[in-house]
Amino acid sequence: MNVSAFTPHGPGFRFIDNFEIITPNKQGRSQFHLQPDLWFFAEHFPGNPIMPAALLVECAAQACGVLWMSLPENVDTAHMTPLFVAGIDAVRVLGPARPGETIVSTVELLKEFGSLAQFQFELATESGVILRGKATLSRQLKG
Amino acid sequence: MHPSNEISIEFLKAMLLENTMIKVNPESIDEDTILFGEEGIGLDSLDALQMIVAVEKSYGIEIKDPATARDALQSLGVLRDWIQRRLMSLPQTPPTA
Repeated sequence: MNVSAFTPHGPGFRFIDNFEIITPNKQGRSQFHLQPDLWFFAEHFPGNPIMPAALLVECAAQACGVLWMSLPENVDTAHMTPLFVAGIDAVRVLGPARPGETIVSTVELLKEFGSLAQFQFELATESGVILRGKATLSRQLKG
Repeated sequence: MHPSNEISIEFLKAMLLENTMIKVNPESIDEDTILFGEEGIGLDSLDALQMIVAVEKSYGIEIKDPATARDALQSLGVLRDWIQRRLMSLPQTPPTA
């Protein structure tokens, strides 16, 4: 799937290389390879590079967004639909993501409701599961 | 699904406290307390989504549209009555041997 058509993020802040549908309208999976020269590794942390947990959550949220925008009713307008994180719940960080590893994000749509949609996510690398939680995305930025 | 005898205000209040960002003293919430909007305790659409998912999980009742949610989630008392009506309208599953 051409991910750039399903997410508004610029390439420097896109944490998805590719995305596949596992169960139509319900479940999908993305991959993101952690190139050692990614901008955050140098400072987080010098000599012990790991991907910041906040960016792991962002990675999960982006995968959720791609799944949402890939639904048949959204696919035509996906490229012009900005999505926002409205809520993050029950997040557990279970391990680090290091340079050279590939993050596999498995996301499931739990409920779509008006301008909101809630998802469950699980991120894993070659070392095992590193993040679990729930994300709620919104089509509207609350003021 | 929880048995229908667990559709109590206490159970629904526990669900509310677990799934929403309550900004008032929980002891002040009773079955008639308005949950959403300026006249209520200020829950928002994200809280509504959390409650809908919790109701679906607990009782197996799907709430598909915002209008239905607005009707059902006016207060805990209204929600209790709404769940009872919906459960009574569902096809009964014959008991297994």
